[in-house]
Amino acid sequence: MEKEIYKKGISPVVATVLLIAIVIIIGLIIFLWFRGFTQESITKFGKNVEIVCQDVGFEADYSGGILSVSNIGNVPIYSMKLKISEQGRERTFDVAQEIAEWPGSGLRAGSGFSGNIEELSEEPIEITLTPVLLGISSDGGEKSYVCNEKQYGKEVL
Amino acid sequence: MKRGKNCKGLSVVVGYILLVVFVIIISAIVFQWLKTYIPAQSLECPDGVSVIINEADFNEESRTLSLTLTNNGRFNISGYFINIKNNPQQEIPTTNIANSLNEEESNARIYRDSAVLFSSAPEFENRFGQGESTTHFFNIQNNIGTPLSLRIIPLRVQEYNEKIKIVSCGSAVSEKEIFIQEREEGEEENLRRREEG
Repeated sequence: MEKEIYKKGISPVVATVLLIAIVIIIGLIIFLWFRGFTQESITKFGKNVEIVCQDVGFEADYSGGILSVSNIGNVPIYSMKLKISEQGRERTFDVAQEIAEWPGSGLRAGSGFSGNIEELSEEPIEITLTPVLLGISSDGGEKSYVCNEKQYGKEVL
Repeated sequence: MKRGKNCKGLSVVVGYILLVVFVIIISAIVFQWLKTYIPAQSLECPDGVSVIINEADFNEESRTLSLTLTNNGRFNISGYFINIKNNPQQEIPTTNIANSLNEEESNARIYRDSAVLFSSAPEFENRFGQGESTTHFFNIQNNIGTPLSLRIIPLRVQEYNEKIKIVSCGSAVSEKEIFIQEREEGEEENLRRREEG
């Protein structure tokens, strides 16, 4: 004799729709959570700013307390990271903030800059300049980016 | 064989749906992050661009700098950036004097206060041809001092991403010491008397 089984449950169609909806919601949660782990990308000229650092070209010199920089590339240089090594210590400065002669809008292509940095250091042993670019962050705002010092930094002293 | 009554498990179809959705989500995350790393064509000049400075003379009395250039490269150019050095302690010329160009005498024009274009015409073209020479004149302001040397960076008009761009040719920089035509002795004395009086 077959036992009658009274089954209760939701319709398979409803179950499938619910499953898909739950998967999409969980997927969105994971997506938003995981996005926080990836490095915020800053772009310039439609490319990642790290790639744009390769196109930066500049010449620099330090003599008699005067730092001179000339932009010979096609990428505007927003600022420079100035690393000064002295006896027993090393200090880093943002040229745009520390030196009044630096152009407010940055160093455009073909432009030059010269400023006295004796106030920052009287007897530097080593001076390294690294370009700082201004790009657009993923939220649409402007953000500065310091290029890799080992790859794009220049020793001027 | 009949299916058992107590089979438990996720439906195969639902399993496929879950897998496909996860793959799409992960692909979207990776694509969003990686697309900015796709290298695009760089804005650069072709090799073979070259301009030489034949003469650079500065007249102290009239404070006029005359500059004679020759295109000895393989490509036409549209203009140049010009910087001078007015401090003997500096090594690199950094003072831009494009704004001092005498456009009428030079038959050239200033572009965005920072560059000189070879033609006074409004269109952007590479008009300075191979083998051509020209002389430009700059009226140097007193506050700039005496120019000691100058440097020029040639410019070319090129198409980039379907737009016309002016490209700086940093690999073709040209420098020259400026020959200073000093005032005559009488003029020096007159100037000194005027300043004292």
